[in-house]
Amino acid sequence: MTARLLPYGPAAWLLEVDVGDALATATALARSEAVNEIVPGARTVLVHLAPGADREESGRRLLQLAAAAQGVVVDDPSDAVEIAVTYDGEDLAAVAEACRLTTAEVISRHSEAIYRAAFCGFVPGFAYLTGLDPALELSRRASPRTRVPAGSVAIAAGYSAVYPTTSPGGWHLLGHTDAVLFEADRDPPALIAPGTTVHFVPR
Amino acid sequence: MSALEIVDVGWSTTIQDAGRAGHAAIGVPPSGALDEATRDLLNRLVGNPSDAAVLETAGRLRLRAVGACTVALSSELAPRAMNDGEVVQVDPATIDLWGYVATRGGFDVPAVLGSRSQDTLSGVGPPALAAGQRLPIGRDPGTPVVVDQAAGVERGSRAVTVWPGPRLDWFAADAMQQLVTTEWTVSADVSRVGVRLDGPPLRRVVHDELPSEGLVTGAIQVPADGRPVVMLADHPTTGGYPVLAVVDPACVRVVAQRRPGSSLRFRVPTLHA
Repeated sequence: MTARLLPYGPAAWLLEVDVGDALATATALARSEAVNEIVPGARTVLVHLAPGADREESGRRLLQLAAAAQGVVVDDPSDAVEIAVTYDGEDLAAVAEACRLTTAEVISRHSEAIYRAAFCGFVPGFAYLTGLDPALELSRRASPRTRVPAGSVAIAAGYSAVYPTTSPGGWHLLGHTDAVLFEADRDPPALIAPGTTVHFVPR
Repeated sequence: MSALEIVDVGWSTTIQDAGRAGHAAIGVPPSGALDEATRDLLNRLVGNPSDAAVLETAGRLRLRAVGACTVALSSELAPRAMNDGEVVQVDPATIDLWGYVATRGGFDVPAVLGSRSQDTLSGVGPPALAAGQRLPIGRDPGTPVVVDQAAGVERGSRAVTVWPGPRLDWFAADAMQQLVTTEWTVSADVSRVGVRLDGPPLRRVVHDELPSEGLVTGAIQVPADGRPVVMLADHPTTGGYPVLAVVDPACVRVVAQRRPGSSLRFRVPTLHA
């Protein structure tokens, strides 16, 4: 399958690509002169065109770049981030039961996987991490919590994530970290950005 | 240095400039004034660069001058000199939802990620405003005030231009037709994040959860209940509901300024050969 170009208003395109290709596509497109800003999604890349860029011409060029990026694996372990986790989450026992594992097995399966941030959203610095052990795939909680503390390490819908701020949330909480995920005055502000490799280290 | 002190913080009052576009990939909303044309005009009236930081409010904001200063209100559209101790109330213009006040020199609060805008979705930017707070006014721009009264910006009584897509195939074949033929009513659910519209539900044919994808300002997102939401400046950077169409950037301010209960019509752009 090739990339599909979807119209997104007069100044943007949405490129739909195969699962796993969004990050490589985003990386390839970011180098194009016609591009002002790129927002990776789960299987799409939103491209804001540069002012004055010809829309149709840019679209053709984006498709070429996306085709060249198909199947390319973006792998830059040099930027790996280690997150120290205390596995004391409120949902740890419930997750173990739902996945038919012991809590020790949930912890080892969660912390032995190597994750990559696919895209961000929800709040600044909230990264959707791919690479979760399939044995830990669960849909979101039936009833979201109104308050999930900042630093909560969680799983849902095939992803893992760390809540950067205290917020409402519907993911299953496995533990917590003291790492600061987002700080506007820091450079870079987000500890985990699309493409970042992440390891969870139990403590 | 002169300042404006907040006497009464009013409703949904924030500092806004041109926003902080460029950080969406790490989840930071663009923010910025909802009505950019009015922000630009008021800044011109006081001789500022058009993107200087202004105050945006849904009404009943009262400010007291600390030292002499020059302001321009969206309800007056002319510069006004304020003496030390003088109080002014800022409200939207008669038919608008959002009112603005610019001051010569701009509001000089610290910038965060290149912008003084307060993001109401995630709290990035200056902290929430409170009565008693003094907002410092920046250095006089030195430029002359060349316009001292203005006709105001286009009120946009005409239909709002929308561009079809990206997720047309998630909707019934007549959904786009329904979008542009319905007289929508602006619901009470309006904020800097988005505007929910009431009308006959738009029918989806794909009922799955959409894998999260990037959102643009003006995107018309349609959740499972079929009631469209137009995304505004503080929108989340990615979302899981399909977008049927996108409001033209020049028309987003028209949608944002519509009061709850008022009507709204959409049209597709006229194509020129």
